[in-house]
Amino acid sequence: MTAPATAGDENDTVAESQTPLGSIVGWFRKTAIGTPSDDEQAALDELIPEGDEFVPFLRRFASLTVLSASIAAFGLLSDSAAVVIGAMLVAPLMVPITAAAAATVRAQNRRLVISLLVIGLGVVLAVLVGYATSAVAGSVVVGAGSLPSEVSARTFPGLLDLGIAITAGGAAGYISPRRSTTSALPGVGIAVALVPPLATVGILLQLGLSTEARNALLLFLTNLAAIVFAASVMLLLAGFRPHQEAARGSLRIRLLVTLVAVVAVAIPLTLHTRSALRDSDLLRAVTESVVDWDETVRVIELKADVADGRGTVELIVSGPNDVNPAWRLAELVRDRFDGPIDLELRFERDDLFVVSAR
Amino acid sequence: MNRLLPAVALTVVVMLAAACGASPTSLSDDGDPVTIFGPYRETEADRFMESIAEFTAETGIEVRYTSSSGFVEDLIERVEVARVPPDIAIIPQPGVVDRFVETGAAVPLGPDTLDELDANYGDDVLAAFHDGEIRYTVPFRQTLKSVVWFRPDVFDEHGWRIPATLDDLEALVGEIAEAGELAPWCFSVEAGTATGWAATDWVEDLVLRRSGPEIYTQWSAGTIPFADPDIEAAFDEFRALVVDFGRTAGGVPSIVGTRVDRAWEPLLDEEPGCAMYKQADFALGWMPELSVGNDEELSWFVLPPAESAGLAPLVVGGDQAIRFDDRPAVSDVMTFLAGAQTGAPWVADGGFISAKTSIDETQYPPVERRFVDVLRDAPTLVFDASDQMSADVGSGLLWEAITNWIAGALTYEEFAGIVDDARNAE
Repeated sequence: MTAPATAGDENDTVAESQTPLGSIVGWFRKTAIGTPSDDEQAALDELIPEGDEFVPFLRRFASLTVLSASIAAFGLLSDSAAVVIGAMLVAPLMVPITAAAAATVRAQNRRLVISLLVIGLGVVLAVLVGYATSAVAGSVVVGAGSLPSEVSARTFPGLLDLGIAITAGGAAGYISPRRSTTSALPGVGIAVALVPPLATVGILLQLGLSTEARNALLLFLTNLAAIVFAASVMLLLAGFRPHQEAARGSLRIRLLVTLVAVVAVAIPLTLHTRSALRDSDLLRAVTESVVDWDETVRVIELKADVADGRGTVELIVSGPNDVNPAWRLAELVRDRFDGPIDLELRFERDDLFVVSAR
Repeated sequence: MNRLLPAVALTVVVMLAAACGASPTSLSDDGDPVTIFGPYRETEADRFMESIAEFTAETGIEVRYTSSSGFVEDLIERVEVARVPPDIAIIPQPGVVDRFVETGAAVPLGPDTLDELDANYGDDVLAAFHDGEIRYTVPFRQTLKSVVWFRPDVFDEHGWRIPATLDDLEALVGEIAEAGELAPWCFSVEAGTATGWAATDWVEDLVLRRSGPEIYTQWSAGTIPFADPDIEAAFDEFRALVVDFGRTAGGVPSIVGTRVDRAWEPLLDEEPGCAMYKQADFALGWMPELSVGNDEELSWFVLPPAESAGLAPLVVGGDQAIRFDDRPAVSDVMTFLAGAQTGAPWVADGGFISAKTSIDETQYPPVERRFVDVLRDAPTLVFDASDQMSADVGSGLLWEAITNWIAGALTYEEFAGIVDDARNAE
């Protein structure tokens, strides 16, 4: 069997040719992996310019980060999804993150360090702006219970967020070297939302809600690790490789480090997701049990949470008849949920009056 | 021989698997789990089930426990209306127990359970709970009602002292109310269909102290009516001490509208909303974890006697397990409940005083040990009067009427008339 005779072959040192797996990899490279053009290489180089253009770039980056974080913080505090999306469009954080992925793949240590420093600057600025905005305008929030839903939604990341970040990171890796597709980049920014989680961290720190702040930071770290990893893989598939032969060995280590980072964030995300699934099990158990308990009632409000294996349910229902004993509902929920539950039920009599006066 | 070895090993594994599958099943012999209905909710429900866990582990019989804030009403509905009684109920009201014994719903204890009872309980406890020849109940929990909780730091800051007599207490309440910084009391009665029980406990302590155990006993037995001047005086004193404007954090709306197990909240606020909170020993289980003692975050004193000489008499309560089914698995659970160390995990966790003498004083945490000492040394113990009254009155009508009286919807005369008429009609 011969080694694949493509550009990938020139850039690669992996000895895969004599095994069935090697044959498959070789075939894949031959058919799927192209050679990046000079323009595509240049597009990645220009993500973070060097020399005289670096300082203006940094100024632009800092200004846009502060502005987008301010927009995000106000949007979060006023619970406006539209404003938060606007902030995502302004946010420049995708650029250094994609640059970090490109530097990882091309083994450009200096560019990688610069990219990471720029990301760090963006993180600090966005958190500080969130903190300051909350100090000035966050008095409406008095505790974890009264957080705007746009804020609280960012305090419970799950595996779905990891999936979003990986696919969006892949899209970023695909788009960045291709100037013709850069119009799609804002979509990636919206999908992963980098600045809003950071502004959320600042807001929550200012409110003294450290656990929630940690969770929002986890959401950002998820996005960061997953984008760098997925974009790196995408750039590899696009044929980007280190220029120097010697650097190629370290490429695997770099990719491994980003993969480890993804796995590290995936662990708490898995726990969060399992917890969310258990919460939804409880919600389903309650809604189904309510129908069995009394099919004439309707649910007005339902809160369900599982902690330490025990479900806590706050339920308000309304119905036209006398209330059935709550213990029956509790037993139905316990049996369906298959675990201990505490239920606080409020029953509102749903009386209808039709009157006429002449 | 070598060829035989795998076959022998496989046979052993299969037999072991079969044995494991056959021994403890998740259900009782007759296929159904044993159901218990009781008054312990939330954390107390967890504690109770911790005490039962050993039984399930040993026998494989699954026990399911359900509780309700409207416990008495729900239990009577289950037993007498829906006819789906639980296998076992844990009942704090002797009046409700009497009702089930009289209607024939309760099943007498089996011989094994009786043996455990005689071995693990003091004669005085058994005499207090069992007045007939046939015994129906396993006493499980003892409660000390005459407890006043307070924060030593708040008392120290204001220079208040623990009152030695009821008159001292009234003077202290007046002083606190006059200063206006915080209310003298935390107090509330909202408990679903059991709303009002906390108020009956308060008044009972005052009747006992002002009129003595003899009048108290006659009142709880129904020979002295609510309209009696002695009883009315206790209600008047309760109103002046606790219900009148400025006496309780949040006033009457809070008394009537706040969940009884959350009445303590203003006491523990950073800026306390009240100075004292009268509630039974088990209220500790409703509060967050705190250090309890003379110089700790929280402390308590016994509601003082009328006169300074001697110790105060105490109002106590107690929960008893009763069964409605005679299946062997149910008997086993009853016998386990009467067992020497059943309840010991809860005792060790705190917030629970066992009715057994087989659970040693040293098994209690320091806080509960002091409760046990106080119960042991008290000159007079009387059982919660309303709990002894018939279920319809003491665990229903009285709770509702006393709540209406607190809210101002009834005068005392109207209140007493309603309750006395109901008692006379029995």
